[in-house]
Amino acid sequence: MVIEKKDIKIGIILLISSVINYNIIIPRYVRGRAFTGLSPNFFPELATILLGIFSLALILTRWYSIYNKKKKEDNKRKEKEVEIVSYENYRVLITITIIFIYFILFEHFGFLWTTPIILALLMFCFGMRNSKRILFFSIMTTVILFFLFEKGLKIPLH
Amino acid sequence: MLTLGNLFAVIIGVSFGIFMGAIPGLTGTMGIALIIPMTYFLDPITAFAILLGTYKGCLFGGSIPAILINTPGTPAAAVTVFDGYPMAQQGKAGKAMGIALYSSVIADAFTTICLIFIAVWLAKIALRFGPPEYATLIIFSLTIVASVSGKSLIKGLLAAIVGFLFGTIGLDPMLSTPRFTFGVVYLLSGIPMMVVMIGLFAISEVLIQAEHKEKESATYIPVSKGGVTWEDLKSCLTTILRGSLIGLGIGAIPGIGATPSSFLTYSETRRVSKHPEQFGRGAIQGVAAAESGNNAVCGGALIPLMALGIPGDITTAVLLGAFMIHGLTPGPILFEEHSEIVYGIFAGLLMANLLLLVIGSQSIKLFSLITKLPKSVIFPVTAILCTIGVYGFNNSFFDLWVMLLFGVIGYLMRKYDFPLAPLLIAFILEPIGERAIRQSLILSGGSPLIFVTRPISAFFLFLAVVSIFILFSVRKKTKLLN
Repeated sequence: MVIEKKDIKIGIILLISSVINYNIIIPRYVRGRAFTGLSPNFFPELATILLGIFSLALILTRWYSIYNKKKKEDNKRKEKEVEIVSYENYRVLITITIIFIYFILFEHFGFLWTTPIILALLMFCFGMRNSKRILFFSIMTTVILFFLFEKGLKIPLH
Repeated sequence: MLTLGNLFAVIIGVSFGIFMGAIPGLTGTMGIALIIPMTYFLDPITAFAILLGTYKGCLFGGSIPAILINTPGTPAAAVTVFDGYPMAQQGKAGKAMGIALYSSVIADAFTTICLIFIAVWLAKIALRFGPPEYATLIIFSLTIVASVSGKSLIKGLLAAIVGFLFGTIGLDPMLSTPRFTFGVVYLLSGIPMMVVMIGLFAISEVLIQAEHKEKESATYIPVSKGGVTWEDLKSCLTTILRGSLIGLGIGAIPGIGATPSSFLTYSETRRVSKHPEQFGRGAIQGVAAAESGNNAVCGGALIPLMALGIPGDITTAVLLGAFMIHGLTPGPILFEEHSEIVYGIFAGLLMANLLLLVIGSQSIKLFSLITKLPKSVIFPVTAILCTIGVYGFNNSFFDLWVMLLFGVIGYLMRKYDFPLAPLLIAFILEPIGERAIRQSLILSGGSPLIFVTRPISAFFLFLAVVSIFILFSVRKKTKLLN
């Protein structure tokens, strides 16, 4: 039942998105009118309508599934609700934040100075605790990648 | 062709191609573009030995990270992930890479032989493809969505529709007016496929793995015991032949490329399989299908290039440039005036096939060393590698943000059990399909009958209807079995 509830939430989000896309985004950001053949907005509108229809179908099928399950459910045994936001997800948010910071630093300070630091942070986040190994892998990887891409393949990393 | 120099050239080409394919973000097209300047002063046969070796090596190389770390090295290897990665998780990484190698070599050899004997004839058929034929071929290809949707067809269709919408971002293909660009100049050319693919598959995998901290001593993938047996290969031969024929046909049609070929081969193999429920969970035929469909395009794409001077895909478009640089004009005249070069190139292609088998098997041993590294090294390095690969593609920082966005989208999709493949398929096929449909309707004055009155187009529509019907039956059968 937890999965069905998650699906209903996603279905509602997608349905609202399709309504916003159809009524606000497409009229404002899809321009042009064809005098022969299909207009530029035809396929975006078609896809948005289908998005709305299938989102509704997802909501209704999952709701029906919950309704059927509730009828059959033993009241004493209830499924454990799994929190979407849990400890593991905070680790994911930290990883996203580190990658986000990496892109900003990469843009301003280049590959060579930022990569070892970010790599070390990521390895720590993934569970490595041996500082010598962190230092070794982060520096070695940076040097190898730098020579491979910048010097070998002539792909500028700045 | 059979000189030590040319042999050495093929070895360099194949090795470099495998390397380029194995690193996410680097592609065969990029590899060939990088190596062309080094071939200026070589004679044409040696030059093409290196270039075509690179092309072949890259098509196989993309499967290595796809199998080991769920990160396709090239767009065409996105399908290899479906069964290759689960096989690796079951401790069969060596077997998966082995069957990928054998499938690649056999399919590639098949289409190379077809190129040698029937290039001109097949090219004439490919020339009969107009917008209606492209449109119905894309519609047929989209039926793949049903077979890669996993447990929920509705979720698969929703993912495909979202991918379709992302594919419309950029300039309208007919009128060149902006769509969904929000005033951002970067978006005028649309979102690059490589960025979407790496974000959806690679970055999302990094985020999934970030959820669980591991002990430092733990290895990520159990080391595989044993490679491909004769029984394994025998069970995949029909699949490899199917992939070879599909890849040959798709490759010969200009503008389609290896990615739809591998998706189509996978879908057809699953459809006819006695155990379709095993696909997506480590079926060896799934890997064979993906790689044979993918690699067979190499020979197929060279057919319109050499016979007519029309490149079959992006990589052969770059090769066309290489031909020009060496003073050769691909087409019928090439066969008449430079037949010794043409047959030298054919010999080079066959040599590259053979060397792919040898070099590929050694590279499998080398890349398998990755499995000995802990997860806390593999995935942070993967994230950095993806960053460099994506940045190196266009030298654009905006690409990095888009990659991260798709990484988060991919992560959320996986958490909510939405399949990634339909989004990618629809995203890739939307531009080709939309342009073809709109061109067809302009040609017919708005009448949709053009899709049924042209025989090849009607045939693909018929295949699409049959495919949908069969796929629904298979899904129903799978549900009953479960």
